[in-house]
Amino acid sequence: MGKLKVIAEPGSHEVTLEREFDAPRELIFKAYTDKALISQWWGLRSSAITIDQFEAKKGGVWRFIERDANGDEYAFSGVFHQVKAPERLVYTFEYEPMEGHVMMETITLETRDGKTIVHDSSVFQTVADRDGMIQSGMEWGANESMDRLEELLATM
Amino acid sequence: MVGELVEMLGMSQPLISKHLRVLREAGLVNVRQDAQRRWYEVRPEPLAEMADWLAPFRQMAEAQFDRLEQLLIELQEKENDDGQAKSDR
Repeated sequence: MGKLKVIAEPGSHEVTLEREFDAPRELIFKAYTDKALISQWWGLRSSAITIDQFEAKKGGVWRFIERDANGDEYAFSGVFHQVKAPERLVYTFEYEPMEGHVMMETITLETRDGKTIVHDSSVFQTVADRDGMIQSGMEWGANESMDRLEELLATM
Repeated sequence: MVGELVEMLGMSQPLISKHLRVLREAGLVNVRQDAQRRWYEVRPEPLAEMADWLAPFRQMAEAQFDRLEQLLIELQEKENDDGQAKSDR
């Protein structure tokens, strides 16, 4: 299993992720740009995701709706700026309840020794937005444990 | 002590001192002063704090990439099976 590298420097607007996959980059590019495939891995485990719009081409809109364990729905959306198979994707990302806080994400797929390195750079408008995104992981972690607790209770 | 670090790392004393100053400002190194000597000691707490800060986000990103990896494995297996089926015919 690949190891995830996370870089979030203090005072920076950026978070970068890097992970190696034992798969050709054409296939990974497809997993990022094919509507039927992206719904199988994108988002949080505990939530069901519905694809409202997904047009992986320059100027194309994407919009995903996530439903959490409580049945609450919230949407993420953005616009593709570059879709260059099989190496690079640039798109904006916005969590709709926080309208106007737009992040720009660049995915670069690099072939190295028969494996593929996925580089994921997210650039936020402010350091506070970047830190907020990192803190949202804490909320997710708490929800995830609650979900697991619920699952466990259901089996008892 | 700076002298020991100079010897161990083979770097000049001004350079070592410069590094130590940066580490001290970041709270990663403590200085104790006795009569004639300054003792430097590592303070790992800020590193643990930073790891804690990042841990939930890391887990969230990791969970998503794990699902991507699982999907890639399934897709490649399916491709191999299809290839096998074709060559069997």
